[in-house]
Amino acid sequence: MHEELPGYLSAALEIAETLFVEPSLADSAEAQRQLEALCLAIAPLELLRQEIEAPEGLAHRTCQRIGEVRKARID
Amino acid sequence: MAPTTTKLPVRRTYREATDESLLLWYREEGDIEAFETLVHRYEKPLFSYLLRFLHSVSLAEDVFQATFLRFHEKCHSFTEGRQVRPWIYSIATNLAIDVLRKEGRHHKVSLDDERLESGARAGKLSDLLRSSQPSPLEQLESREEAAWTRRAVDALPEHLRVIVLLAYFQGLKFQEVAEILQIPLGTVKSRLHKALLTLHSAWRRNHRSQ
Repeated sequence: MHEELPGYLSAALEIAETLFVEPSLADSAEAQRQLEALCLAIAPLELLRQEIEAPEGLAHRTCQRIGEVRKARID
Repeated sequence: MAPTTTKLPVRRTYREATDESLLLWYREEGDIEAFETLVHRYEKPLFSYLLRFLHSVSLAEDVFQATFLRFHEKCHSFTEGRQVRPWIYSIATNLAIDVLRKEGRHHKVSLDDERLESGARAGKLSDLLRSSQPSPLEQLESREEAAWTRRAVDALPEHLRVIVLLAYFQGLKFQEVAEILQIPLGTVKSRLHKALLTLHSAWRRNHRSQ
């Protein structure tokens, strides 16, 4: 059950899984401690979650390179 | 392109089209604009992932390009009914692991890490000027916290680190992570659980020593 806790915290569980986790969580002090620890571990990750800008023109250069590969195969 | 009996999805604008439709239009009709739409769609998220994985802008760029070259070469073998996103991440992850092995390093910290931390900073100057923004001291603390967190994630063993990158930083579903890494869903959950508890222990040790 403890392995379901990260999914429970990030709302990634199916309804059936959530229905399984919630009563077990209510009954287990150890599960509650783990849930708290996981919350503390996840919170700082949010600081790094933003997407990073790609170097300018990366997609364009990629398309160009593959266009050249495509053309070379046709020739 | 080889003749096929694949039933193509109804045409919509490229922007609205699903990844799966774009792949099929490219594969079955040679629609280059469909391919280019996909490359542009993944530019930012996939580059972010690769930079976090490889800690080098030039390596991340190389692997990004190699990923779409592989995509172009292998799209004929893509099975209909699968999802494109985990497939792209799977190609990228395998290529990134190969690069790290060839480079003979795990995940060395480099000058490019500055770029990683800047992603966690307070944002553009215009944002800083808004009164609701944190004070300079709070921003500094947040930056230090972000740098510490990144180092803690980097210190995880690779099989745990990749799961944190995919599930938390990329926001992929656990099922997608399982598909990308070709491991059972239960293994994704148990590794993520272990990774987070490891991060929590590191966090406690760090805060106790301060």
